[in-house]
Amino acid sequence: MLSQLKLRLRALFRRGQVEQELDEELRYHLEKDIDRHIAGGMSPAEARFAVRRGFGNVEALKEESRDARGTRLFEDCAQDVRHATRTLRKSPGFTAAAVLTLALGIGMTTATFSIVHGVLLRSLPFDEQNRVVMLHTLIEGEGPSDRVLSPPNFMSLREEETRSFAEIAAHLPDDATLVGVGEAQRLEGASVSAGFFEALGVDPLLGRTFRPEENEPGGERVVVLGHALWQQQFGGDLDVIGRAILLDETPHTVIGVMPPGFDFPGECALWAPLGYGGYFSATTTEGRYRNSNVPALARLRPGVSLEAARAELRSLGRYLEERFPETNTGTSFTARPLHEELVGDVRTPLLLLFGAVGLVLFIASANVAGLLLARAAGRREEVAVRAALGARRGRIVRQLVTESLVLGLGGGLLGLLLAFWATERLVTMWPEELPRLEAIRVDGTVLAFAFGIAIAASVLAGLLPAFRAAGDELAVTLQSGGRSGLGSQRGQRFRGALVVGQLALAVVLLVGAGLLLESFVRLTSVDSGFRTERILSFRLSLPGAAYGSDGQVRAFYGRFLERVEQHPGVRSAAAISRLPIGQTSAFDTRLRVEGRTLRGVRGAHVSSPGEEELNVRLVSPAFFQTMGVPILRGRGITEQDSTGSLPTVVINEAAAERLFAGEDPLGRRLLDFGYDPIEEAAYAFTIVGVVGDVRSRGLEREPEPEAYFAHAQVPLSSMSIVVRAAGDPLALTSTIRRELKALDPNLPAPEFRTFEQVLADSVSRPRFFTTLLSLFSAVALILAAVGIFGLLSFAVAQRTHEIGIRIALGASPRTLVETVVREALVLVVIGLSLGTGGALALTRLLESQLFDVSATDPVTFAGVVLVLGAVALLASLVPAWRAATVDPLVALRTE
Amino acid sequence: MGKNKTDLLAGTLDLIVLKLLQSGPANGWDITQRIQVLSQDILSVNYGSLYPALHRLEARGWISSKWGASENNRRAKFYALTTAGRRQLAAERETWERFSTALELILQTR
Repeated sequence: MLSQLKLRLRALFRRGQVEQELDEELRYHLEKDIDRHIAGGMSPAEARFAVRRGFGNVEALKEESRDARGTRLFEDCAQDVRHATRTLRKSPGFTAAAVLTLALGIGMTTATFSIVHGVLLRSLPFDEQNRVVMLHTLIEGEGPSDRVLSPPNFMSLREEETRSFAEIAAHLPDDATLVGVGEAQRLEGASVSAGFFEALGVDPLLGRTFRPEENEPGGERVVVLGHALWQQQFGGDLDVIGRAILLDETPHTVIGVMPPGFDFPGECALWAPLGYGGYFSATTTEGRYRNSNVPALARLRPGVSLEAARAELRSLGRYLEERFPETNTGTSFTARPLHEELVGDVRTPLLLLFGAVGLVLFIASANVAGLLLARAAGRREEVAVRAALGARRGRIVRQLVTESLVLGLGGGLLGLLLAFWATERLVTMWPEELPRLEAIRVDGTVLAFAFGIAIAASVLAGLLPAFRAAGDELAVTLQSGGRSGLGSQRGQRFRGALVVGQLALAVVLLVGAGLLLESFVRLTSVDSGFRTERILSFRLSLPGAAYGSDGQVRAFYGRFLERVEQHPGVRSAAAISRLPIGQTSAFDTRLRVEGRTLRGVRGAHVSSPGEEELNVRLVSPAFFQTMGVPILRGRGITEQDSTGSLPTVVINEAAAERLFAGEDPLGRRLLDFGYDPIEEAAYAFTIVGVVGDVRSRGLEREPEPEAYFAHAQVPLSSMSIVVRAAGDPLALTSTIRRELKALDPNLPAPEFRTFEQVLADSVSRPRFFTTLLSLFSAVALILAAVGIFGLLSFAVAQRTHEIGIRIALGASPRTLVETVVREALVLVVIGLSLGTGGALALTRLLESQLFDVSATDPVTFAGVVLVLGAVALLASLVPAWRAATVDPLVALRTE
Repeated sequence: MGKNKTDLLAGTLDLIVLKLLQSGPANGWDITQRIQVLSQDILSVNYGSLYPALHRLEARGWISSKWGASENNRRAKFYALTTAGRRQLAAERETWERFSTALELILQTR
């Protein structure tokens, strides 16, 4: 074994010596033979001749002996690579075109892959992350929804000894203002139940996480810091543990710091214990009914499948139905993997994008295949000579494929540079609301991917032309002096297939991009129901410690809005609980029209006319005026709707239609049962007005039934402020900051955004995907046009001789142009039809991403076919013209 | 030259080379001569197949090579059977005998 290895290594690395020894060995043999012939009576010259003749092809013999050494492959490869680089260097134009085309395809594909990899494939920074699931409430007749748990249901599930879950834990968003460390700062935080960190499987970097007793009401106020916050605000100080910090003006003791990269949920900067109390009770019915506001996650026990866990959740659901029939009838639970939940609806568009870029890569490969084909035709003579000298077919194919591999690796390297750059650009373009941005980067896996597709693309591009080149009949080629004659049938068919394939793929891409563009244009021009220009928006949160009472909250907002409105640059200012389009989460409350009886029995909660879940918003008086929402009937919310006066509500048109269907809603009363259907007649609000519909939950969503309550009657401490400016809204920011400081110096400075920015951000995802897909298809269009032009030009060049004869025989330039264009036309028509068919089949996948456009939108399809057809015909006209202007004398002589 | 010469059957050259080296190291030329003599001029092996075969057998570890002096003191490469080569010879010989017996049986049927 060892000696064999030595032999091969020697053969590989001391090639010169081994070759020399072979020469010497053969020479010895030769001389012995000559000696023998001389001994047999021949003259030395005769003997030499006889032996030489007998020896035959010494080179072939040497070649075979080399083969026997088993290192042939390496040697040949090295030789092929050297040869390939040498020949490629001799035709820099061809090399540059091929390498650039491949680099474009590989670079774009790799950049897209780095995103797909980062977002969809890379694992979360949790231990055994595929064991972590999120729990959801299922309500009969609702279908799958994003409903999370109600607090009592969460507590009930938590207290059961389940077979499936090792931990069940909840987290609630809990923003806090940090004072006393640098500038006052609003931080995203979370209140988490016991077992939260255990369910996720993360350990603290420093200190500890929460003890169960810290979740009980009245527990000590403790907090765990995120790594980024610890670094930025506390300078990574190890003594931070045990330190007291001021959160919302209440001292909290720091007990732990989490490791870098952990910021679940969202971009959480700190965690505090969720104090159970109020609705957080396993025995209460209060707040149990459909009050879905507790996101809960759970860790599956080892060996428990998701299916088993779901089955157990179903049986737990049945158990709770029996135990709490009034609230839980028709309610069940299910679980979904956390990763799926986080990635959610980005999966489809990302995979679509990846598929699209794959098509671009195919087109790029086809282009390079076309280039190689043309090149191979120019090298037929070289190939034939090599074959005549004894090169076998496989060997020639290998050599030509090596050439395209060298091209592919060159393209791959260049493409990788492009991918680095593009990934960075994509990350800055990346819509903020998309998940897992931090996981996107070019790493080992991405490098391996780039390398893999570089090889795949070059083999794909090089193999067929190589077989074509090596497969020619030797004698025919040599006889014709390397002349291509009338162009072989197979060559034509291959060229035709390339043209057709490129066109078809380009159609698919362009149709996809066209549909997305059309959809985007419609989305951004849809009537939102607002006047969106010159509006400044920002969010305020008043800390509970200083603003404990409704009166304090009411007073603060009243004074603040008044002071802002007095400013000459401000037309009007208002507050709303959740900024339309900016904050799209639903905050639905079930309201019933007074005087209607429910169908069905109490506790069964069958939806009936007159009872409706309305999207609820709290507004200050000037809201409708500020946002330009028309008041259609009655009046809006005014100053008179305050404490002590009649509780009022304004509904939108959609709600009026849904609840009253043509009757006059003014003066009717809406009953709010809170979360509890049992306690009858909690609050009644008189409808005083009807306003226009707005697309408050996103431009893509139809207006929903909404109810606006007066903020003065139902005060809330966190509000969004909208200010209509007389001029540039951003010029108002310093004034507003000053007013805020004057009222309360401890409030953190808000982040300002114009409403136009809010709108733009709300469509950042469709914009992102539309931009990328448009870019891809633009590249595809250019590549396909260049490719078709190249292939047709080549076809014409191949036939110069034939065309020369035709001209000599009297063919008119017109007929020649027609001939060439007709041939191109056939290919174009086939390509466009195949592409249209493919697009019809594939755009269905786009359907979920489209707004107001059908996936088979005939206008888009027709437009794409027209554009591509025109481009392809243009690309064929130039070669056709060239054919018509061929000088017969030159054509016949040169060929 | 070359009347009544028979080409070697495919695969038999390895067996012949191994067998000839059993009696001691030899160089390539010696081997061609011995094949001719021992087969009474029926078989002749040409250089074109002998040297690749030698190199192949060496690559497989069945024979080893060493440079030495030939009888008239010229430098020549000598091949010798290795232990693995001896085993291979035995194996190939057995295969060949089974094959030729079988062939004989078939040819004798009428």
